[in-house]
Amino acid sequence: MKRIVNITVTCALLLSMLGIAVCTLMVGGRSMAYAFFVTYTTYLEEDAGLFGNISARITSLNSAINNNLAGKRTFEKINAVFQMKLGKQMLSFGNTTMVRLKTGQLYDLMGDTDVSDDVKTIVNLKNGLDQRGVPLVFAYAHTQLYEEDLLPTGVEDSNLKVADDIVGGLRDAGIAVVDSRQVYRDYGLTMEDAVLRTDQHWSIMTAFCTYLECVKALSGTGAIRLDLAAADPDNFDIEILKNVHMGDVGKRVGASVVEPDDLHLITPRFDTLITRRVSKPTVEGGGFDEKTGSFSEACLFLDKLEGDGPANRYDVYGLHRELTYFTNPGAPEGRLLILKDSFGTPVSTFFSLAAREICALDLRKGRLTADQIIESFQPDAVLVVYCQEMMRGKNYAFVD
Amino acid sequence: MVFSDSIFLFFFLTTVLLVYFLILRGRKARNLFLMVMSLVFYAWGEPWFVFVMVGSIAVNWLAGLFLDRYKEDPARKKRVLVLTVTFNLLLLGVFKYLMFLMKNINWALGLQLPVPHIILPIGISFFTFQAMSYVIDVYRGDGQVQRSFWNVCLYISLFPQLIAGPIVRYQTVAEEIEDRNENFDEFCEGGRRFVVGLIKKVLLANNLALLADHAFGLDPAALSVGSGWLGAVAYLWQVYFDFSGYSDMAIGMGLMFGFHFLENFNFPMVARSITEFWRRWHISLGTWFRDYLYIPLGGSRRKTGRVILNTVIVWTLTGLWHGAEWAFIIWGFSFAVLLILEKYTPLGKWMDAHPAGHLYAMAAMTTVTVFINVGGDLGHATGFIASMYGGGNGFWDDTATMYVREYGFFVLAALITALPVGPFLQKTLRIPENAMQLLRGIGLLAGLALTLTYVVMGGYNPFIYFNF
Repeated sequence: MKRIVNITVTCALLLSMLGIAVCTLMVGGRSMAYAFFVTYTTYLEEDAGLFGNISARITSLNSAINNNLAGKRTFEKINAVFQMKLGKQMLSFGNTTMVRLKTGQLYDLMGDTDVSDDVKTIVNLKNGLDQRGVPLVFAYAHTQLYEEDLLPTGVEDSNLKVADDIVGGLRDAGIAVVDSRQVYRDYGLTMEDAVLRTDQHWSIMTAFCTYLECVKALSGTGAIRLDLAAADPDNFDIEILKNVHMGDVGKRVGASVVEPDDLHLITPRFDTLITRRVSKPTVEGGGFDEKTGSFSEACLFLDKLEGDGPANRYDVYGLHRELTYFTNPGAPEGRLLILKDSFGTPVSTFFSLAAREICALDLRKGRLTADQIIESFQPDAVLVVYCQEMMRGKNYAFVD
Repeated sequence: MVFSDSIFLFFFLTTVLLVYFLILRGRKARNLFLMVMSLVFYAWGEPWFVFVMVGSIAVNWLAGLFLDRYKEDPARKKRVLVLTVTFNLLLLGVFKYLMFLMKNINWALGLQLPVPHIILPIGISFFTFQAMSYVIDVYRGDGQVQRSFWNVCLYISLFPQLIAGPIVRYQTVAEEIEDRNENFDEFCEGGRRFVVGLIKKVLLANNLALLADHAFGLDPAALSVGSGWLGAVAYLWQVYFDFSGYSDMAIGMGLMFGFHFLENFNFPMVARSITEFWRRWHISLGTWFRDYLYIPLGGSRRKTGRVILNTVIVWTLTGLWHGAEWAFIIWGFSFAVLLILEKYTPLGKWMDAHPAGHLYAMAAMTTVTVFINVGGDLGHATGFIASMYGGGNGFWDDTATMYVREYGFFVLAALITALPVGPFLQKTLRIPENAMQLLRGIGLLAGLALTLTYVVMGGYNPFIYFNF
């Protein structure tokens, strides 16, 4: 019997190794070769010699292999189910730890970090804009913990502390801040409608309410005219699409562990005619996609709602591309620059209703800097919509 | 590259096995291939370190040739040995201990001498000790000189044991380098052993590491007795499953390629004393120090004072071998003190005869091992130990509750795996051998499936013994 066990276990090991290796090579072989021969330069240090060059190629290949391993999502789901069955409330996925909040949402824990340098960068931006007479408003998009005592017993997290550091630091420097936590309280939102269960993003409803507050804050500066009727919640229809959204966090654990989210479809009751231009990725040849029509036709991507079963529908309110321009001839004259991350994408889409010209820039997606876009777009006001992750030194490239 | 990395498992090892068994036939070709792949394995972490290792191997190979040439001339032979051992110790000293030495000279003499920043080549303590084993064995006549540089290179660099042992003595594999028999049954036995090690490392050590890292990352004063002990126990077991898992994988891969490495662990957690613990833990290091240092110093056949001195020297150096920090020296010295107490007081005999010995041995190991977690931060170590014994945040806190809730399963699984529970149940319940084997097989297949989910998704995968 021992011999049979040895043979069976060894065969299982070898077949798994070989199977995963072959599938990975078939699916990701090109990416791995590309990483080793081309994109390794990302890891190349300045003045790297021969060994530095080899190290960079190895690091690049390691990363490509790990990203392209066959069946990674499936293995993650199996692992998540295993961890849940053990009664764990903190699911470990390598470099992230996910917990289920007491209100049911999945949440990636956040460690402590010093954000003072990132706050300084925003302050520097404000100082530069002050010299041009252009006001800056910062919208802080909070991640998931909108109420106290949501974490399982004994779990530590620094989300709230870092959020206070960011908001406090910016306000101390004289920057007007719209804090989505305050918006949550002011609009009487609940965790159920403000926070997605399966996604680290805020809900479209929270993005909408934050937009309403940003309109007030920007109008208050007197530097830009906005259509205040487009910021009246009574002028909007709200439809709730049930169980249609499965965000990235939910996909890691699967529908057996977490139910899909509802999606708020918020559209104006008034007539609109808007032109939207969104940049195409370089791999698709660059350039812009352009569309003119009503808000729903031009600004929303309703095709993202097609298809059966829950999927990532957050993109209905805009694509996460480097540049998006909106032109709304029906709105008061004014140019608004929005520097945004993915939380800011739906906010900029709503702003297409209130301002004549909008330029929304995601600094992570290209080589443009804030200085360059300010110089070329000549905005009357600037709105920054960033979540906490963007203020933790990640993907951050404000100014040269 | 770590054995539990996806790159090693799915690409490196798969390639090596396919080429070694399906393409290559002759012994020389297979040895050469194994050696080249071992160098690739080593270079994967930091390419230029491979030259450090090959340089060290070349010097020790030449020394072996000279020892053979001067075998009729004891004085010259001894000079060659002394020079070679000095070279090896200097190599280790420069890469591993120079920074520590300079920092302490500056501290002790109030100087501002520049402290060089030297990156430690992975596994240097292991391959240097293996190289010394080769030279000393040839000097003593315990092993034949190896005239082929490539074979010495293969012995020292062989990837299964290169970076974390077990420290394979030259005499153990001297014959198998040139004349070994790879066969199906041993290949499968090796495969099973590899799976056992992989499960220990990925399922147990890595999950216990999450608990330990969390506990040691907190302010020691914030720890309750419960969370302190859970953190410290998790750390000791993390080290055990990390290292014994790695040893299992090394022994298993060795078997697949026809090598028979000696066992490195023998259920150390059942020990009733520290003396017994160290007879069961990292056996290859213990026997290395015993045969190449303790016995040459006179061992235990001297007067009591000298034996005590020998024990202190050996265990302080054992601590220092693990790391260039005072914490490691204290760690090793603490064992010397405990071993001396056990040997020269009734404590040892009483523990051997009494079940409380288990508790004493585990408590002592758990407490002392706190020092090696925190490295240079002695204040943190003493604070942590104080909390374990009631000097922190009460007896139990939310953190301890969280540890039990999140890691209770892994702590329990670790306990069952660390103790010979299987043989005990088999004997007590009179389970037939075949049924026991079948149960083990099912357990291993389930464990392998779960382990692969962690490997593929890139779970937390630290490897403690890299630091040593």
